[in-house]
Order: sequence, then structure tokens, then C-alpha cells
Amino acid sequence: MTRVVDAEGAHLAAILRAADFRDKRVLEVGSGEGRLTFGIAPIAASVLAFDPDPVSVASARIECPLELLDKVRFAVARAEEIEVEPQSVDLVFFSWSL
Amino acid sequence: MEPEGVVDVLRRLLRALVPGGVVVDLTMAPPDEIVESRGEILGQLDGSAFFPRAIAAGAGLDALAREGLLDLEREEPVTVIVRYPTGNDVLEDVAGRTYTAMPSALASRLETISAECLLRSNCLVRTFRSSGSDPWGVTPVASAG
Repeated sequence: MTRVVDAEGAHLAAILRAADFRDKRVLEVGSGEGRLTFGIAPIAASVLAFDPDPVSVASARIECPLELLDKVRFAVARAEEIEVEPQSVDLVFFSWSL
Repeated sequence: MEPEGVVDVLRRLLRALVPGGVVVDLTMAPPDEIVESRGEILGQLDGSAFFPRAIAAGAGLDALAREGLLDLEREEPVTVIVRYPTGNDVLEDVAGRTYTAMPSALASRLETISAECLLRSNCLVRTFRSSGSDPWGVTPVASAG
């Protein structure tokens, strides 16, 4: 099955309008296959991305562009299970959809 | 995230945020997703089990805002389109979802469509800012003496 999500880029554009991601340490909750992660990571300082679906996380790791490998980390966890150092990120991005 | 205890989960997660940090919340919003092909609306998915969960997460952030822990700075509705080569690809994708159902009448129509299909979803992007110097109680309180 082949699907193309948001070929128009409306989703990512809205996210980038919502906040200034430049040089921010980002915690992403619900990263899925990394579609939006790969859009914000190039300008962010780092992205720590969680998703409860191990298949999606595995796909995100495989699809992660080489140039982003040093600043993006994907992990499997439900929101209830995520453990992050207090006051260690500048921006929390909740993505509950798609 | 399970609707129960959502505020507690959010509160714990947001302890990771520096004072004055930003929260961006992206969630799908009613009405139900619309399926189209060749400019014709074929029907809507059944999100009656999904939307209460999405709304609960957003309501959790609203509750924290009412407590004065977050300030809502902006919100923007956005429509997202997912494209599928055929109707069967829509069926396969939706079958993999946990909380969204495919109405049987719509499924029957999609089975016959070999042209490209679109799924049109409504989303809401909201931006909050963490308020105060230590809104999540991260800094230990100094003991007297």
C-alpha cells in the first residue's frame, strides 16, 4: 500500500508557523514514522522522538536522512512511559494524529 | 494517550520543559475525515471512538492553562490531505487504525474504485508557552536553616 501524506506540505508548514524550532532541543511525542520529525530536525538543535508503535519507530530509524542522524533519536514509548530529564528541552511537540 | 489521567501525564511530561518553553499541540479535530475520488465525496470515516481521545489530550492542555501553567499563544486550523492510489489502499490503511472505523457502505464503494482517492483530515495546531519560573515544580524547595 502506497500513500502520500500531505504532499502539499500544509501540515509541516503549519507546525513551523506555530513555533520557532531553530536551535531548539525538541521532545516529540507521537513521532510515527518521522514524517514531521524530518521536517523540523534540520533547523532544531536536537529532536528526541517517541512513538508507541515499534514498527513506526523502526521505519523512522531506517528512513532518517544521514545528515540528521547526529541530532535525532527515536525511541519506543507511550506518553505515560516517557522519562526525560527535567528542564532539558526547549520545546515539546505533541503529535496525536496521522 | 489514554483519556484517564491525561493531565497527570502531561504535567509529568512538561517537567522536561525549561521555564518559558514552548508546547506545540497538533491534533485531529472533528468533523470526521472525508474520502474523495475524482472530485466526488464518497463518504466519511467513523471517528466516534477516536475523537474523544484526541479531545481529551487537548482538554488536558486546556486544564493546565486554566491552572496558569501554560499560556495559549496561537491556534491554527489546517487541512491535511492523504493520497492513495486506489480505494483498496484507503481500506488497507484505515484497517490498520485502532480507533477509526470504516463504515460498510463507504467500504463497498471504495472496493470498486481504481482511481486515486483522497482522505481529507482536519487538524488544529496550538501553541502554548510555559509560564512562571518553575511552573512544574522541578526546582527543589530549599529547606529552612
